[in-house]
Amino acid sequence: MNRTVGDRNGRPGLALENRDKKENPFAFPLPPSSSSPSPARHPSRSFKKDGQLFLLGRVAAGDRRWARRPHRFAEAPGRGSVPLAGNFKGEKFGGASLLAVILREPSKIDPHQAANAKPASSAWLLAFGGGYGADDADRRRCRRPLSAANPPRLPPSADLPGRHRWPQSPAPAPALSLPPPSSPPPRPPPPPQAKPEKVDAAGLEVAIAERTGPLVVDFYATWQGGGGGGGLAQQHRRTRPVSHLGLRSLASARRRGPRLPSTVSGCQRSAVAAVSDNRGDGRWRSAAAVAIAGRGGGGRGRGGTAT
Amino acid sequence: MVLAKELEEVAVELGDKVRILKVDCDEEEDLAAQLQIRGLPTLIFISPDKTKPALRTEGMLPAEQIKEIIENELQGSG
Repeated sequence: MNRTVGDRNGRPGLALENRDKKENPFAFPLPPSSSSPSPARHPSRSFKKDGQLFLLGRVAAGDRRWARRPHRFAEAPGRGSVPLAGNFKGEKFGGASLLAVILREPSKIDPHQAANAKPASSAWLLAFGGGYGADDADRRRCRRPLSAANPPRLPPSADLPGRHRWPQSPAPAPALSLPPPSSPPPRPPPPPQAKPEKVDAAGLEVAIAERTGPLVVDFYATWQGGGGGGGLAQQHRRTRPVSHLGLRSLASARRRGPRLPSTVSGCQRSAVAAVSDNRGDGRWRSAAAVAIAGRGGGGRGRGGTAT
Repeated sequence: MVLAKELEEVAVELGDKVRILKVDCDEEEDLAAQLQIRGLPTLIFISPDKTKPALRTEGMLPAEQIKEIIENELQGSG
């Protein structure tokens, strides 16, 4: 059987059989499984499904490609690959370290725990869960590519005739019977987006005539006036005199402004609009002054618009 | 802007009990003049009972207060 392992993008990976025989004497065969993974299937799935921990190979010492692609298989041509993920550093946990950890005491690896773990945590489990972290010697070794001059450190008791099978657990864990994925409950209907309707004069007239319930009409303006500062909300909270509509009373105009025309009713709208109290301090300014003050005062609005 | 959010909240809470409209005074100057809108924002509460005068408020009103006024209108009309 010449099974290959591809990455999650479907690209074919290394041929495990050939690698086992020739290039990687420390690779472990895949166990017999009724549902063998497809060639394009990510090995981590079968890894989790079968409840076994396989070392498909090892990362070349110092190979950082798998660190840059943590969720893929780190492929080391000629040396196989190992499912690793996470923020591991190649110098610390290279293939030599992992291989040495695994071979030192494989019984420390709980296949059930590893089966439920993700590849990243499994690799972590191998490195730390068994109590065998990479020591300085491993790190130094990992910096050099494995070769005949730099073989992986193996325990003397490890029987490595080229293949090794992980010890089976005495009682295989019962398959988790997860309930079938049920369809998510139907989402509640979104709340009604009852927003105020923008109407014009005709629309308002119709709405008032045809009203069957209370009617609330909000008269607003996007124009906020210049100057004053205090933020948009504060400006909005303060009522704005509608001076450009020419609606100020004469008494109010005389009380508040020194340079108003004598009669409001007879003046042009533009004349009334030429003054404004946009700063809210009771001092009326001309539109030009308001505009200048608005720019200088840091207000968000523009100056008074005399129409 | 702030009042608009309060009105949206009121509209969501009261639903069909009330109809909320908004009028841009810069676009509808004549209407604002006709209704003597003197300050912005101005809210006008119009009761379904045509014999009741409309209520007018100027300035920011919190949603709770708007709801109180509307509820009073509903009670008065109903």
